[in-house]
Order: sequence, then C-alpha cells, then structure tokens
Amino acid sequence: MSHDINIKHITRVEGHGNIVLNIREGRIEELRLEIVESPRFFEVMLIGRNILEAPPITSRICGICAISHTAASIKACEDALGIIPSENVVLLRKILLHAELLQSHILHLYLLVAPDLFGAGSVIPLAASNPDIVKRGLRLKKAANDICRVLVGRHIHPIGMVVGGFTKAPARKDLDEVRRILESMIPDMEETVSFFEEHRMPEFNRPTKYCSIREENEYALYNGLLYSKDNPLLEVQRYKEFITENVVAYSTAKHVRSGDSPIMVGALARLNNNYSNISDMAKNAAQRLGLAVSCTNPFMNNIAQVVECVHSVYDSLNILDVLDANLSSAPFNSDGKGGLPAIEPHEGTGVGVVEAPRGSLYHEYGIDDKGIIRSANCIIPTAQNLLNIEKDIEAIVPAILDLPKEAIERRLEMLVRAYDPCISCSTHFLEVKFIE
Amino acid sequence: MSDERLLIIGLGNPLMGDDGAGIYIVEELKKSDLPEYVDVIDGGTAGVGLIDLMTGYSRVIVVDAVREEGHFPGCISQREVSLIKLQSQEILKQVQNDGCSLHETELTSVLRLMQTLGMKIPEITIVGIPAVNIAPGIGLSEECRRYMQEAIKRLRGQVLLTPSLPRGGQLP
Repeated sequence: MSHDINIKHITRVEGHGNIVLNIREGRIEELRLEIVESPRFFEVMLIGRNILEAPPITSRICGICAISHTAASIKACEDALGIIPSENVVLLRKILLHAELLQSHILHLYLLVAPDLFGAGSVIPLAASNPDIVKRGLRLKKAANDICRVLVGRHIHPIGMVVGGFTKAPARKDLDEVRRILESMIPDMEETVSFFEEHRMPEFNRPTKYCSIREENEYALYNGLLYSKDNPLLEVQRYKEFITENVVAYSTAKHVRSGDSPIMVGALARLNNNYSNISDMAKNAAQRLGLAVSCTNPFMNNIAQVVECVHSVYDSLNILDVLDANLSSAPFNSDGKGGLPAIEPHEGTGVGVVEAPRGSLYHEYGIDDKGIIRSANCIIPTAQNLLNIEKDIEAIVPAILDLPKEAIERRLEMLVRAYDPCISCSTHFLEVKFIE
Repeated sequence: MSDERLLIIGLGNPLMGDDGAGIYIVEELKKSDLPEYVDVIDGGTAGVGLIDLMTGYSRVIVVDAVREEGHFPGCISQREVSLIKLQSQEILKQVQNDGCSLHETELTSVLRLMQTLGMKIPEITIVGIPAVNIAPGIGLSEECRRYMQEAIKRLRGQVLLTPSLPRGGQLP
C-alpha cells in the first residue's frame, strides 16, 4: 500500500506546521514534522537592553503563556541579580501559574480537543451542536483569566509581576475574590471530568524520557530541580547538561534531546514524574479517567491536562489559606518593609525555569556590571516535544496503515494536537554566518 | 459593567514591528483625557480572550494594524488610516474559514463563535493602521508612526460620535 500524505498546515494547533509522510509498500520512506513559521528573534531583541525590560518583553512572546514567560524571566533576572523573593511573593506567583495553566488547558481541551471527540471540524460546529459544552469551557477560561485580572491587572502581559515582587500587594478582598472565583469553578471542573470520562483516548504506547522540574513536597510548577527517571536531579543552572538543542534543516525550530533520547514535556510528563505530590481530588480524577502512571500513551496528555486542572483549583485554594494567614504577619514584597528590593547589578548570568502549561520553560540571561543583557537563551516547551512527536508518528503509522488516507491524516493530526503544541512560540532565531 | 460604556481595544504584538501599532496607540490614548465612559485596553494577542474583554459593551472600537490582503477586501487602503464599521452580519458573511485555534483566532472567528452561542455581539468599528513592516523587532516603522497621529485623531472623533453616552452624560 502506498500513501503520500502531506498535511499542510495542521489545523487546531497554535501556529503553522506540516506533516510530510511518504509510505511505499507499507514502509515509511520519508517522515518530517516541518515547522514553517518564520523564526522569531526574541533572544536577539533582548541583547543590549536593561535586564528589567526582559520580563515585559518576553511576556509578549506568547498570548497564552504570558505569565509563564514573565515568571521564568523574572526568576532568571532575580538569579542574575541575587534577589531572593519573599515567601508571599512566591506563593502569589504559584497561584498565577495555576491560573495560567487552567486557562491554557481549558482552552485546549474545550476548543481544540473536544471537536475531535465529536467528529466536528472545529469549535464552531461544536458550538452549534453542543453549546453547553463550549459555554462551560468559556466559563472556566473566563474564571481563570479573572484570577489573573484580580491579582496582576490582566492575564495577557501581566503588568503587576515584576523583579522582586509585585507592584501592588494583594488586599484581603482580592484574595477573597480569588477564593470565590476558584470555588465557583468546582462544579464545572466536576462536569469536565465527567465529560472526559465518557470519551476514551486512542490506544497507542511509546515510552520516552519524561522531563520536568521536581520538588520534594509539592507538585512542582514554580520551583524545583530538573528531573527525569534514571537521571540525577540537577540544579536549573546546569540545564545544558540536562537537555541539548540541535538545528534541523527542515524546521525553523530546534530539536531537543536529553542524552540521546527524545523527550516529552508537559502535563503527562509532570504527572509521570510527580504524581505522588498531586492533590487527592486530582488523584481521584486520574483514577476515574483511567490515567495510571507511568503512562506512555501521548494521547493521554489531554487527560493529564484535565487532572492538572483539578489539582490547580484545589492547590490554589490551599495556597490562598497560607497567604491569608501570612498577610497580616509578614511584609509582602522582599525589602523587609513590603516594598520592592533595590536593584544592584553586577556581571553574571541567571537562569529561570518554570513549568508552563505545555512543559518546562527555560530563560537564561547574561548581564554586564550595568545590568545590560549581553546574552539570552529561551527554550520553549513545544520545541522540546517536536522530535518526540516525530518519533510517535513513526511508531503509530504502521498500526494505522490500513485505514483510509483521511483517517490516517485525522489520527496523526489528533496525535500532534495531543501535545498542545504552540508552534509560533517554539520557533526561534537561528544565527546564520556568511563566510566570504 | 454598563452596557453604555465604550471599549477601545488595541490588538497586536509590539515585538513584531508595525503589528504592534494598535498597542502603541492605546498607550498614547491612555495618557490623554478621555470621557469617563470610555475604557481603553491593551488586548495584545488575546484570541478567544477577546470574548471576555468585549462582553458587556454595546460598542467596541478595535485598533489594529492592517494589511491589504486582510479579511475585508475593498475596505482597506494601504496608504491611509481606515475606518471600518462592521455590522455583525457583515462580519460573519466574510468569514471564509471555520478554523479556530488560539494564535490564529481572528476577531472574525471569535465573533462567529459568539454568534453561534447566542451571545450578544457589540457594534464594532475597526480603526486600521497600515502596516508597512511586520517582522521581528521592537518599534514602528517611520511611515507607520506617521499614521499614528491620524489614527488617534480619528479615534477621538469616534469617541465623540459615540451614541453610548452614560445617562445624563455630557459631551466633553
């Protein structure tokens, strides 16, 4: 059987990617996941700028993961400047990462994955046939965005998050408002779990290396050491020993490996690595949804996202309790009086890593003694998954070869989509030197 | 939120050259005195988030960079600031594509989704600023910067024209 499959512009993913797959006599002759977005020059834009400009600039890299970029950037700045944020600042940042994870996962699950489960071409026909489902997704997303709005002014390009802390400490009424929003999400989250309980993901297993940060006593999103099974835990500053980036000719994004292995990052990787630390309500959801770690089915990344959403709601409520108790006793920002700490630049480098909704996000800046950025590196989750997606396609194709061409295409798109790829962000600058 | 308020929302990415024109313009507007009933928002690359931002307003002005090959053929001239009043039915007729993803969620797809769900769609005016250079980089091209003042002038005109005055409100 011969197929020549060219999926131009995979639908319902962020950005532009193509799958090129040629099959002759049941064998794959050619397979490429091409990323054809124009490379984006974010790292170069940072060179020559004051380090304090990095968070607001990098927050514009992505309209979905603006808080994660801001948080990773702030952590890299604080690492370079020797600033240690207060406990309260860290707690508030953790709630914000939860809120962003919620809005991003919800959008993916309801607007991009749910149409697949109903055989709908996009969310618009789904909205016509099952408006209640789409409305529930939009309600949950709005709630998550509202948390960001209350705490940092807005979700896209959060203006209140800065190096050292927040421009405005939250008042008790703000925390009460966030609590009310989170509690209002619980019935819809319950419905979300029930909805995905009714829909099984395709069976397909291919073990790979699952990478994330890890912390001893909590489900790590903000702080932790670099972890994958059989690897020693590493400080984030040593990330280049953990993963390596390679340029490939057919893609404007780089391929990432850990040792010799492709890697997977994101919800499923985090659950595989840190399941014991997830909240009981989330464990209960995982059981209902048939997700048992270690899970090697990439389609289950969608289900892992549902489980993480449940965790984020309940963990945010727990963090709020601690913040509430702290607010009256400890100053909010880090200078000891509740203000932002003084910035005293010195030559050095800083690394910041957080778990963005789609996986580990790395920012590294080198600065001079005036605080001017002289080098910058950002490694985005989707870039880390690209090689693994290609290997998954390679492994799944023989099992689905007998299906009609359209069915093969649909299954492959669904596989790529399960990774929730954000291709626009994952493409970044390749430096080309001309030798004359 | 009052139905009678007017929302001005800037869209675009200031890391992509002239694509950020809408953002620079709303930042300028924020510095000036505007009537009390006007809200100004930097919407960045909001996508589906536009639904939450627009909900509750009966009238929205979208400020965005436009290119000739944009979605509204015939409406846009490459060499001047354009003002496009869109009735929701017109917008929806022009949506060719049902595709809807997060980075690509055009205003039109968002409006179509709102309509399908039976949500109230505000009256929308787009102030289009001709984009000369959309490429990675911070800052507007010289040509695009010249259009900014014109756009702000026309925006102010639109604000004064608004029928969405608060009850008993006075024109400034």
